[in-house]
Amino acid sequence: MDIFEKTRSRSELIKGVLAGDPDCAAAFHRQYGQRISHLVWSLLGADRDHDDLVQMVFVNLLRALSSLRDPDKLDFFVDSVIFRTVRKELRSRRYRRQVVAASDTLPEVIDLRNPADSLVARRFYLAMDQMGAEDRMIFILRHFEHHSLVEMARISGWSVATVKRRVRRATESFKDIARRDAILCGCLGENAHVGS
Amino acid sequence: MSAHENEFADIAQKVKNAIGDGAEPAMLARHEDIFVSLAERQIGRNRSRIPLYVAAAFAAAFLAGMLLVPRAPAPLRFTIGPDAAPGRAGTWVATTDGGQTDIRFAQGSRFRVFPQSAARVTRADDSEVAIELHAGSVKASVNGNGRTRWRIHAGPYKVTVLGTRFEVQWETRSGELRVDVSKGVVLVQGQGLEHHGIRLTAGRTLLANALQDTFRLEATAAIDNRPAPESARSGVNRPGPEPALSEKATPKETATTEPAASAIEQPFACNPDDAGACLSSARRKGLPQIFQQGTLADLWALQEAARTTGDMDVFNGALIALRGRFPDSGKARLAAFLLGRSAMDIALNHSQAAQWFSTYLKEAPRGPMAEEAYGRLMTSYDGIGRRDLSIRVAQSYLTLYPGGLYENKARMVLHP
Repeated sequence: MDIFEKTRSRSELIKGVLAGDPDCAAAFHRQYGQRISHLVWSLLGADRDHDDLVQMVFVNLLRALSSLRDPDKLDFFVDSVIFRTVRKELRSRRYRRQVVAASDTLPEVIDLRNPADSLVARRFYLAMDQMGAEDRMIFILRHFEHHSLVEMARISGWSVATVKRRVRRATESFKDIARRDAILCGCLGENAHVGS
Repeated sequence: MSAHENEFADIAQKVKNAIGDGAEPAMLARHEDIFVSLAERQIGRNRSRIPLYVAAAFAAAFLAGMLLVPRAPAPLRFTIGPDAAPGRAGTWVATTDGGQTDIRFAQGSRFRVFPQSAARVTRADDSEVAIELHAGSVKASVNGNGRTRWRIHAGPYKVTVLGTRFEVQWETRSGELRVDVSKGVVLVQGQGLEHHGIRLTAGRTLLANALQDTFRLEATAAIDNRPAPESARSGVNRPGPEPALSEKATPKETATTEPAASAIEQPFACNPDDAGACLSSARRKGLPQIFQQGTLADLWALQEAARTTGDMDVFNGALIALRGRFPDSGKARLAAFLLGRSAMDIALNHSQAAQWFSTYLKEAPRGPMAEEAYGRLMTSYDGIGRRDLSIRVAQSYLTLYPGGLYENKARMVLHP
């Protein structure tokens, strides 16, 4: 009964959103807005284009929502739209050779109350910028968002084996970069700081 | 979980400490607006085939309306600081202890970022200008054009304006928000406030605390809540600042005792900036003469002068004469409100005040002072022990002004 109610309410929510009902849209955002904003923020950092990227996610979501057959899978559907949108953006930046532009991804105001953590954040997203789009996203989903391999497979559309392989590769890639960074190396507790 | 996963969790926590989790209420409020707007425009709706004649009609309408209908919001240019450096959406403006920085828009609006503050323009086009106040204080002077929506996001609050002067202070650590309005009206929405927000008029200050989920409204020293529509119509006879209502009224000669003879030749001239001279001029000409023969502008100017100087007999006489001689004018309706306020605040006559406020609401149910009239009517009915009427007014008020200035008062009347 509970599942039925949940399914029905989600179906109605989706229909309302697609029909342009502002109340349904607001309810939908209350349910998924925080998740979308947080995941985009986590994947890209304190990006100055955060609002634009979230808007791109919204547009892609609204365009794809009519193709969702099972409302129970809405959570993964939303995550997969975020995944595809952010991946496209990262690839686009890479092609435009803008990935390493620090001002794109780093907080522009260092929080003087917490300079140490701000520095770690800067270094971390610089490291992320050196990684490929998929590796970056897989690393964050796994180690920051604590998704399981199965969940990541659903979100990315890859097999579990592929996800497992990519997680291993992304982790090694990050560790290689971190070892060359005094700040990140210190966070990892690595003794072998290779130098910057 | 491996040792490295623990270390990654440590990095994740530090990153989160530094940049937050991307789900701050102000940010989510912005996103909700965007999402609802996109959904309303039915971005996700499948395109359907349309008849050829409909397409042709659309094409013709498009060609005809290209010059009339703006297709996309045009960016609004702005500069930052004394050097007028070109501004870019997203750039933070952080001020130090001694410095303050102006964000100036090409159409004349200005936002002053006070010392020890951090703010940024997150959107700037002719549809909306959004400013995020991370911490500190921003003073705004907005030149509204009726088209651009101006918003300041401060923590879980957002302040929306059309054309006004106000100041927003936001203390991140304590979660305290303060909004002072010196001119115009703003709408404050956010945590702890009602869903529709608090409509804040000139001379009022909103103090809200996000951590305690509380807010309160107080009067500010700079009161300037003149009724805009009336002033716009009246031209030279601008209503002046609010009277010092607490000032003791000093009744002088009443209108009926003023000699009218020999004053007919005396012209009545009233400088709105010199209330004393205005009253002297009126007395020289003769108050009954002005009450009976003065123009609408004369009577309005006279009541303003009397209100400023605290001469409540002349004030009431001018307004009653105005209502009698120009009953269909907008000022006659406003006069009813002013008479009610005078009866309530100066004469402490709640019965008379209730009559005037009722009269105003009958004549101008959607007038510029209607909300305040409802609020005062509630108090007046309470003052004369008419709880039944007070409840009816409170119910009407809550229906008409959800989230209004007197909402708490209305709820207290309904649920004492």
